[in-house]
Amino acid sequence: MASDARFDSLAGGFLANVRSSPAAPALETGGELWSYAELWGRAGRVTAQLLALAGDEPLVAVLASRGLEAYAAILGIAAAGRGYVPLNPKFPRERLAIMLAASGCRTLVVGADCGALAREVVAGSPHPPSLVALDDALPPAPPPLDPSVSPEATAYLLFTSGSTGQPKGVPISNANVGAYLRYATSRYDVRPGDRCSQTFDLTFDLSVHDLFVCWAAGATLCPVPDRQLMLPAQFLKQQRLTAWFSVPSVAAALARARLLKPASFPSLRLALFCGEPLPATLAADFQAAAPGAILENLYGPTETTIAITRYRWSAADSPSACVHGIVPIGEMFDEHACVVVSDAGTPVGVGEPGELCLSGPQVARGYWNDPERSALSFTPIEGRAGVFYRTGDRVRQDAKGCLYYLGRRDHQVKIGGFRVELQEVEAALRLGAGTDQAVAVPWPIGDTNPSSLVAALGGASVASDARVLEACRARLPAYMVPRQIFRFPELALNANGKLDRRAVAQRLQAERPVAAAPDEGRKA
Amino acid sequence: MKVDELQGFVVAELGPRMERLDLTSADVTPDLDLFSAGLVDSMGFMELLAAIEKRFGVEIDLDGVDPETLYSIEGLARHVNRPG
Repeated sequence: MASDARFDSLAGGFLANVRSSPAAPALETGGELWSYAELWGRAGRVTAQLLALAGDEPLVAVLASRGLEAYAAILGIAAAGRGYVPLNPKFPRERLAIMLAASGCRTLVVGADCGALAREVVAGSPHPPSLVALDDALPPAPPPLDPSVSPEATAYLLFTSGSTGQPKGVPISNANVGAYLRYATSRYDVRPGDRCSQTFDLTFDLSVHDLFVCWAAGATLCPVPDRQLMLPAQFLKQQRLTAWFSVPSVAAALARARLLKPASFPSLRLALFCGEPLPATLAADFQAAAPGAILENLYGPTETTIAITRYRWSAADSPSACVHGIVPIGEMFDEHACVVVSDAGTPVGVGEPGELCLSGPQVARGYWNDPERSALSFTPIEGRAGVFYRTGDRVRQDAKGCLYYLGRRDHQVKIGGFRVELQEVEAALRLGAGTDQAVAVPWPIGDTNPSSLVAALGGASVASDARVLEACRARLPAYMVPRQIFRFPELALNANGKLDRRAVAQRLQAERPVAAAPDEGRKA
Repeated sequence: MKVDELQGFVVAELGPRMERLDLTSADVTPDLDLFSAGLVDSMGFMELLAAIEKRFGVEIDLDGVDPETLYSIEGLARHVNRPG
């Protein structure tokens, strides 16, 4: 199994299926079915063009909307043995220019609807990359042969938001992503005939699972249209999806629209969630809506390739295993190691909270062209073999090896000297308010030494402020109880669909001056 | 719920977005596709639904509904007013 050549390169599994089952459906989008051979007919044109171009740049950028063209471009780049750098057309032009320059790409593959944007993005560059339009001028696809790639070469380069304000590049090698795909394809037993969701933006690493687990398995990729991304219930049913993967926020939106009714999704046999904490109530509701599905909560920073821990939900046992109403992130993937360390960097005991540090074949070597930050985040740990990525995530691990996510190290705040985990406050708020959208914000906003917390609630909550605060007081010491609640129809999500604490805080600050009296700030 | 009442509310809710897109209230007709016009994305649409529920005191149950039929003001009104 370990020598399965399908996983030596990112496109290896796809190419194997082009050779072995060319007529099988690879993609269904906009009512059109694309066989593996037909999709290669598109992707291979990009491969041919890249192989014909002079030079041997390791990375090629893609600017295309989520859909057929972007998939063909990514596959074509991978089949040429290059790494891809996805650029999101929805991002601001300046941010795209910064990423493109940082990547060092000399070639940018451009979707039909992104031509004007691409020209704007490269306009200010001292060495503008050459643009490859996805059109009929491209040469025909070559035979679907596996590229020769080094395990250490970059398969994809993604940018995550950096704490310093500049996007931070994370290069993932063929060996990194191969280890993930080998594990996930086998664990979830995805196979021909499966119909897999595609919900993630291509700049979010979870999209790599969407595309390449599906195509390595010979299954059919079914992109959820942008217009139905938050309300995918009908799509899921009509497309008879068998495998679902999204952020928990999508499930929360379904719940709000009363679309998680029991047995709503009988075709699903797999439901995966990743990218943000999964509330236990949501897991239970989704499981009831998809009674035939194995439901798992996955966890993994971009630096450790898509996901590196998993927790299988069990309607009988899991509710009592949840901490603060959040589903555990579970156990490490095979062949990986974790250590939970104290602030001093030394391993803590079983059950003790600490920072999660991760090691193994999926863990990246460091940040892109950033040795300083790499040295801080990718470090040895005394007494352990290998290099560990310091996640900044606080967890505890029980005696059986199950990991419980507790929050971010950098979202820990001190109120009047007391240490406060915002997640714990938010769990109480969710419980009291009966909504999944709750954010606790240190107050005054932006103050180095906040004196209290306030709360922002989104979604439909019927509970009054008094009831919500009462629920908080029933669970939390006084200094952790928000002094005030602000309500919004929805709380802001970031580009990846996660609750965006910073945007919530900014909105609070913009709409509620710091000087506002505690009882006059409620939004009608 | 009357269509013109909902129209007024939607225009008020989407005001800042309309401004950015250089649209006036006359442009936001009952049959306008709010998605295609760029007034909502899928998240923005969820926000709008929540706001409508709150303002009009209705519970919008989308079970069995094609979301594509909801993306205009008249479509929304039709859904909220449907019998049963």
